[in-house]
Amino acid sequence: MNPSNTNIPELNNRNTPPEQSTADHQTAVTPQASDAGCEQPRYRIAVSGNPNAGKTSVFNALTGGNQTVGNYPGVTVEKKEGSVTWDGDLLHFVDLPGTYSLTAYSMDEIAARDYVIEEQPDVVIQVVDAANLERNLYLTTQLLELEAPMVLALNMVDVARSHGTRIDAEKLEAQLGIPVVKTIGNRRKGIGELLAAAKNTATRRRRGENIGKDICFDRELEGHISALSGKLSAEDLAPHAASRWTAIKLLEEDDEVQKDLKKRSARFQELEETRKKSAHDIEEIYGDDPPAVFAMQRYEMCARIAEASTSVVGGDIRTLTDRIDSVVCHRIVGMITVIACIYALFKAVFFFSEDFAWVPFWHGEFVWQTPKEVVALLFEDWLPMLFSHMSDGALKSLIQDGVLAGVGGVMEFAPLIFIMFFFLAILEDSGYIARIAFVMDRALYTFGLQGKSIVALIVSGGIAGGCAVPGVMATRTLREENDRLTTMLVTPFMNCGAKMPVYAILIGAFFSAYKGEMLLFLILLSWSLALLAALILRKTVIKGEQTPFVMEMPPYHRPDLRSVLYTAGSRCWLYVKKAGTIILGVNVVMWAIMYFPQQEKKQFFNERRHAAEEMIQQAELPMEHLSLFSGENLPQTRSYLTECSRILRNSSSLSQAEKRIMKEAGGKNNRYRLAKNLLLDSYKEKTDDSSLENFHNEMGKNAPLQISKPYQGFRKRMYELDEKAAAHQLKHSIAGVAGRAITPVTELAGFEWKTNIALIGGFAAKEIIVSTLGSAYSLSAANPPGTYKENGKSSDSRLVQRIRADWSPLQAFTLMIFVMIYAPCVVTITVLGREAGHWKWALFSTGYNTLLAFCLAVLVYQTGSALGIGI
Amino acid sequence: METTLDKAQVGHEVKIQKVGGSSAIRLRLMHMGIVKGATVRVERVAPLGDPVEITVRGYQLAIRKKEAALIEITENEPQQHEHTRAQ
Repeated sequence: MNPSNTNIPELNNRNTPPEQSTADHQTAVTPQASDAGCEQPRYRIAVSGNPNAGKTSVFNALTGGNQTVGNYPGVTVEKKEGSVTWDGDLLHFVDLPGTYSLTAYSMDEIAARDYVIEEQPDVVIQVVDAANLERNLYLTTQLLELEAPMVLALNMVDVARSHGTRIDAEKLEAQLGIPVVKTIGNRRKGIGELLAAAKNTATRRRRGENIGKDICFDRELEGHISALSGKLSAEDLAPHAASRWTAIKLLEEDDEVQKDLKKRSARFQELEETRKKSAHDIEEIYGDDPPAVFAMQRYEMCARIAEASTSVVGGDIRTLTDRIDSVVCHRIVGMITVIACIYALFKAVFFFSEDFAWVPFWHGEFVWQTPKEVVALLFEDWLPMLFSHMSDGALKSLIQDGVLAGVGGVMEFAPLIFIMFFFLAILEDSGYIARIAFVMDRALYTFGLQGKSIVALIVSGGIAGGCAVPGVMATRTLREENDRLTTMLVTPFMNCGAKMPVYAILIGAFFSAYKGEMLLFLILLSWSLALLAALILRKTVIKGEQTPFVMEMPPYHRPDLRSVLYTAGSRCWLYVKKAGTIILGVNVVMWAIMYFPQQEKKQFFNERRHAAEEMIQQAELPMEHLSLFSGENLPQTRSYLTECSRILRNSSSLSQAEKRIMKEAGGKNNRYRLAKNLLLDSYKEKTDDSSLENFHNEMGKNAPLQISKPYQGFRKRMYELDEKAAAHQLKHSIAGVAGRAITPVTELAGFEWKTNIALIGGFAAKEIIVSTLGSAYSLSAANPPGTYKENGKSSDSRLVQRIRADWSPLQAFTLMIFVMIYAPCVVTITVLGREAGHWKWALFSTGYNTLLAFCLAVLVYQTGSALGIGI
Repeated sequence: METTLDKAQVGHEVKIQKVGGSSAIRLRLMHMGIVKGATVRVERVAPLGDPVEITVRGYQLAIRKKEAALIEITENEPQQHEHTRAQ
């Protein structure tokens, strides 16, 4: 068609540049500062490659287990690093994000190329899928344009060979001018050779040698490139950026490079003129714009190189992947498989973290526990016990209820996240997740989401009882930034496990006849809202073109267990490290607003005294017992009574018990004697000395409190007073004051101050809504250290009774809707802010969810009230 | 026969003539190897009718019909036995 199209692009050796001297853009290579202390790595090596090229397993093989995970500065792109000492040198590896190209259109690609330009690694290893050479070489050509000192790791050569493709590494080496090493990453083959080649390349580079050939386009394009690069002076270029590369990128209309030039160069207009002229010429000649022409010529080159170094030995094979896909992408079977698979993933995640006791643990005796129980035991039993001897007060409460509860709250999610990523990594590594996306995409695309979103939504509680924290983290499988953000922002709509107790209480209290229907309604409502919200977010906040969904369907392969464990472990650690501190801080704040200001306890002392007097009179006890119940003596009396009843239970006769109690009494005051008598006298009424054991067998463990009327009454009364004090404290705490202050507004939705406090508490974790509500209703202390648990009556059922008496079904229904939608818990918000890359998204999520929840609640409540439904 | 990729039938092998759309979409497609002159084979359509799976440059790619509609092609005769799948 066009005469100039006959100019075939080719690779030129850098040492004999075609036209313009390449020397100027090679001068940037200066030996790294060698003020190295012993910890300074000798060589810095970046590992790049296409997604699905086996980069992770090669990286793991190179670094061993020694890696840390972080993010590239300013973006959420995951950055893995690892160091290893090899042959006497410390090598530092950085895992570049898996990309197909190095354009300015995705954060991954910008992060990768910025690293290569700015950090000037000594070597860039590209992991190449040998079975897919042509497309993988496309990235190679771009890395060569960057003039990176490259080594090619020709990976998965075994897979390629099994498909009948054999690649001649020497021919490839000759064409690219860079070392090519055959590797099998997941079997750790060829890694030593790769390290040797990398080190050799680094040494050559430091001697000032040029590595790699210049990738040259046809004569026409090269003319434009050198015309433009010739005009670029040193101050026009970003540090370390080559003028040839900059010229190519400018011609390719690369946004980032263009912006950078505008900032840097006073001659921007002049250069822009030159570029425009070239662009015009190129379009004239090729009938296509420059980006297309560059891409096309690069691919022509890749095709030529791949063809020249590949020999096909096998015949035509309809492969395993194709056969599996014809089943799992089938119209009906495919849908069923995907749904079954996601359901199994969901079940497995929660089964292994919450239901199945598989962790060996020592708890008095050797037991099997679920990971969740282990965390709970550590942070709710063991560690608080270490501080139980502290005197009651703000510090003890801060440690137990603020810090330990906070750390426990963080750690509680760790097993969940680890196990979720374990299974997700298997899905990802095997290649099946691409099929999930393929099958589900159409259903979600309408709402501005995409196929892979389904996994995050289900994990978050799409099937009632998930968790939005791993859900938000599961969006890491989405490569398209806007899709990922939208998915993240709608995951909190799902009915996570922590919302369930609220539903259970409210459904139990008002809708027990329609339990199933109500739950189904809530699930359907949350899905509708999530999808609707996605649609609206996409039209308003997250504008911009929906990124094209272009997804590789990699061939299936067996997941590499070691890689899967690394991924799960490192992401879990990232969560604990990064989100942990913030969550802990917020928990301490939540604790403080419920603890401060501390209320005067005096009025409760008086009430207690009053109650005690009444009780003593009823039980016809001597008045001296009153000292047992005076305010400041109460805690001690409690421990005396507990101790005495323990001794009684463990004694074979009353006289033995009395002796033992007396022995304990050494050094204790008169009240100990009184407490002892309180119990012993009731015993002596019921049983004689010899039959104590039989008596206990008959009465069971709770004998002491069942027979001692005064003791029993005392316990019950004190328990109630404790609850009252806690409610009083809560009511007058900062949270309580706030909860009451907003009542005029929340009354529109039918929420009274008790509900408000519970909802404020629920911001820390939805799990505590019910317990805070209980506290506000004086039903049990929010965090009762050593409170006596009422026998046989759980506070829940009492709460249900109270709520049923106090509320209308409409109020309960409105509250359920509000709890479903309002601000995600602190952990979710923190993780969301981190994953979205900016805290503004965390704020946004909190704000829009709460606002939406409130509007909807008001709408439901007011409509219901007006129509007289459920009042 | 000139048409767009979304209209190509499963099992057919087609040749790319032009990639349209906004520059972001075009570039994305082109960097994945969908450039003028490339040969593409339609492998299958997803259960809900979208997206489609194609083979290009020896690997498999899923794209939505919306994007496929931006890709102008000429259709070759169906070649049932010439599998281009590398995998």
